[in-house]
Amino acid sequence: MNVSFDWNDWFSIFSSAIMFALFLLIKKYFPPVIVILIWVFNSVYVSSVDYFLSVSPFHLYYFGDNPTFEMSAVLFHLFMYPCASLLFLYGYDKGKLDKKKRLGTFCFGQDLRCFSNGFV
Amino acid sequence: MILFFYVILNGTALFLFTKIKKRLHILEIAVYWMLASYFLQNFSALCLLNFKTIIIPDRQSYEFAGYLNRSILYPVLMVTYLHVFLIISSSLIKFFLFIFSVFLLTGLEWLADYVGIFSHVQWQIWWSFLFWSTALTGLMAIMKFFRLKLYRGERRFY
Repeated sequence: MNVSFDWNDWFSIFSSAIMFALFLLIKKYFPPVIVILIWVFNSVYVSSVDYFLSVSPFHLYYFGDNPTFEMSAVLFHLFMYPCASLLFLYGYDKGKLDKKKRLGTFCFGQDLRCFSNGFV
Repeated sequence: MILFFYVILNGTALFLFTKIKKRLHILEIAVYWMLASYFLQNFSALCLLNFKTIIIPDRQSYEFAGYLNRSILYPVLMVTYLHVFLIISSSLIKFFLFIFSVFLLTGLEWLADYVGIFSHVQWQIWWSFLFWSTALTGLMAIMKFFRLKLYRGERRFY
């Protein structure tokens, strides 16, 4: 099992912590059941697609800097992506987002950060 | 052939699940299903990538069959267990239901090993019993927590 700690792991910790902190600012906007549903859906969706594409059956990439299943992947699945989705939904619901201008930017912003850091 | 068998098995389980009159709210089914699938996928990833206690053959049909089992078959059986658990009032029958479900899920896991979808490596069978017991117990705890949130303010919950 991988136990080395490098920039990839710090990146995942910082990203997850920042997104979670931002989520705490808006956590009361949605009812608890909705938050649970969206959180679980996001975690499962991301981890399923990651497992499907990276591990079995397609082997297209690996998450992080080595082929093992790291804690950084868990942090992203459990915190970063669900919080980002909830923040997006908050903005979409409250601010009536213009789909053309903001939808693509917000949704792909997170993965672009990951790619630019060589995380995926 | 193996993939065809598991497509039929998964489809049958899914079909039967849609036909039973359920005591669970549709949101509960969604949450428990997704959590069961998430737990299975993460544990599978740990065993495959880190501990190397399972090996998945490099054949796409077998890998798809394994994916179907993790996404549909095992979660639907675990959610069905929760549904039946809610119906039964006797503690003794609930206990036997729990034992039966653990044996069923363990049997399906080892059937998958037997047909070659994945292979256990230095795996003790009691680990399978422990894993499924933990998974079902954890799901019951999540059910209790989620029903408190879902039915907050109502008198009815389990």
